[in-house]
Amino acid sequence: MRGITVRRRAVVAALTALAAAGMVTASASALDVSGGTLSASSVGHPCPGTALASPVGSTDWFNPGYAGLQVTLPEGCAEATVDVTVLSGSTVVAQGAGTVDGTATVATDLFTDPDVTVQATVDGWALRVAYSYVPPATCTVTAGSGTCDATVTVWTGQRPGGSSSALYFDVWVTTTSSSWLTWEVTFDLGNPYYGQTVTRLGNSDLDSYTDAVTTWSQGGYVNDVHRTSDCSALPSLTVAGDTTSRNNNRDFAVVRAGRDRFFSLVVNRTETGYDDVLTPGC
Amino acid sequence: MPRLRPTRRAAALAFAVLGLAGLSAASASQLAVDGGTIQSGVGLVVDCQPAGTPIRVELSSAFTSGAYRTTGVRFSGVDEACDGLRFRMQLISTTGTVIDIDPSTSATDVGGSVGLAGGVFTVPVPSTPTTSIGTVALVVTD
Repeated sequence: MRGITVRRRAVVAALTALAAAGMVTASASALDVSGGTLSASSVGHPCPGTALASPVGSTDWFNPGYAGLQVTLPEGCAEATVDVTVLSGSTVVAQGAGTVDGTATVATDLFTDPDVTVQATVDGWALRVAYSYVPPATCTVTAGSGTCDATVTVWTGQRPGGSSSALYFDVWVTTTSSSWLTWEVTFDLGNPYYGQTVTRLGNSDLDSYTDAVTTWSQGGYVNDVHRTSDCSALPSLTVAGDTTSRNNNRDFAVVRAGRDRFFSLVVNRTETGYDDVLTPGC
Repeated sequence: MPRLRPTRRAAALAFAVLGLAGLSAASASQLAVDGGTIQSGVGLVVDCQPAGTPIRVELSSAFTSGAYRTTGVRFSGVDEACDGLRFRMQLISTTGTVIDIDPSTSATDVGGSVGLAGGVFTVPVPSTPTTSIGTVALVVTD
């Protein structure tokens, strides 16, 4: 019995030696042991290389932030289970797992700050990850002195008075400037944040919005935008607010501190009227 | 040291799963048996596993204390003919050194009987940093 144990260990040791010496390669190798032939080969890590990861926006209006990671496995990787852990410093802020074949979104717990690091495994093996975050939208001041910010929330559901569930990009334009600024918002429609390919965008001015002074609605001053970028710029898309009044308080094209602008874009609806901002073929 | 005798030889599944360097991604921790002929990156001699049937090798890993740690190796797609055979398994680090997965003895490997459930058997190992694991070596003998 003792001898059998020794022999088995010898086999393992032989394999170990092969591996350690770098002799077990993608090509065949064989180890002849006292007349018996023990053959061994090697296979690699299921997914060598570095995966890419970027945050995907939450579609829950009440829980804005990020609810997943778009993960792109290194070229050549087969379908596998990817487990991700999102960290802020050393604190775990979200975790999730899912099947990835090429590129896919791995759903995670909600996290709100995109300034994170990511650790991951693929089929349990350590997976190197290059994490990146690019803002899904930016705000630019085209007239006036100051800066502005744009925040986009991806929302799915049926709005009050609506006839069906739809996907929306809800956009807030804000500034700390005390003077009125004319704004533009540029969307990076190729950003993983949006979670889908965008082919149509329609301005939903049916959903009223009231700031400190003005109620924006279909029947009054509308919170509407129009495209200002060329189709050739896609997937970058820039919009500006419609000028609805020469009174800044009622002009959707301008923004001031405490006078945020809000608008919604309906995504990929084929009904008439929902492609005034972006239509297929532009 | 006793030498291996023909009566104890072969009937063996032995493979090494190497991490990273120079290995085909398509092989992807799967071992395909090819009737005793080693194929590039995927072949292996084994009596108990049908030719051309890959064995998937996954690690049982979870995030704990700031990093992923591995507590087992999962082999799936294993033929029922391998059930009950003896095995020994060794982990090898990404730098080629042996990882001691049997710290209670002088041995560094672990062994037992293949206990299949639906073509799967899992070999528990002491909690090991996942990033350190580069290779799994397994021998199955009758």
